[in-house]
Amino acid sequence: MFMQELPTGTTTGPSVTVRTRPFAEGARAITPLVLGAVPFGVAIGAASAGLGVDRLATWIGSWTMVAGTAQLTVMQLLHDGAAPHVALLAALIVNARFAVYNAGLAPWFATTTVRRRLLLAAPLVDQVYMTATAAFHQRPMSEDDRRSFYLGAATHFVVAWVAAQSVGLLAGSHPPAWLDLHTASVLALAGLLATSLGTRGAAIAAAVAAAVALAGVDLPAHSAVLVATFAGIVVGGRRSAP
Amino acid sequence: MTPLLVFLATAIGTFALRASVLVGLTGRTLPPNLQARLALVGPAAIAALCAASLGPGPARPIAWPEIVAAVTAFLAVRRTGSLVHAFVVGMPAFWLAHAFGL
Repeated sequence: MFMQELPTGTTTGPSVTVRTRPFAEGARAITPLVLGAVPFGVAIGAASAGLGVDRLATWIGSWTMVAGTAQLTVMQLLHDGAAPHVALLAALIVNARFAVYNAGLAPWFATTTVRRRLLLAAPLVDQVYMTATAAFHQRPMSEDDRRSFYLGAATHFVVAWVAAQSVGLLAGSHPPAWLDLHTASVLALAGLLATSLGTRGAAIAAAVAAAVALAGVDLPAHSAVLVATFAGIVVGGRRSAP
Repeated sequence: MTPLLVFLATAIGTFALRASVLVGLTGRTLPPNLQARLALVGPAAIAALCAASLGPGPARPIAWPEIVAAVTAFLAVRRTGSLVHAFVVGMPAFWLAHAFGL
């Protein structure tokens, strides 16, 4: 068994100590974003059959990648006849924003060991990053508590994500039309955006990023999101500088 | 077999992306101005993802019901501060926009 319960309210394993209260708080805090991601996960699982991708491969991809947009990109490109290395490159470009996210996480885990940082990096996705950094900004926590909060959010998200894709794989390629799985994921993003605009710089960064993403829709290999994110950070940072 | 290999290669590459800076900065701190810019990563990335999902694509027209739903969800969450309202308000807005033929 990986973890054992301690009477002090902490759990521990071979390489990490987890405080149960912040862990539970993190798991609870990410719930609305999990609700938004689950339909997307079901949709990817369901789309697998339609795109001719082996179900076992899709399921393994769900927990090894934990990256829905990249997974869908790979499936779509392979289905359209793209070479495997092209699909791989496109997926990595889609996921390049995670490199920016982990740079954003670094200041919150200044004294965390390399081993624990590797553990924190594995489930780093949009929802976990946004939930964790929003909570870290809102109230003071010790670094141990921040780590437990983050792992609570990440555990909840990854378990729900894999379960959602599994349901989609079992349901096949015909989810009910009224569910509109794509819309649910867009609503999650819109809600997430609404909670993230706390400063003038953030609002400017978001506006610029959205405009560049729309203008760059024809950029190769789905790189518009990455280019737009950098443009937003650069312009938002300049405009908010004192 | 090919999709599985591409998934696994993507997983390895993605983990490297996720861990690169986090591990590379162990024991060091970032300059304050860089930290201020990193605080903009979330809003910028989420806005870009949202716009890319809603905007027209090479083979996709503008989806007005989704735009109406997303704007409604955005306003509801801004007003209430609760992310659950993105779905509670946004999905009915989508269904209504769809029903009215947008």
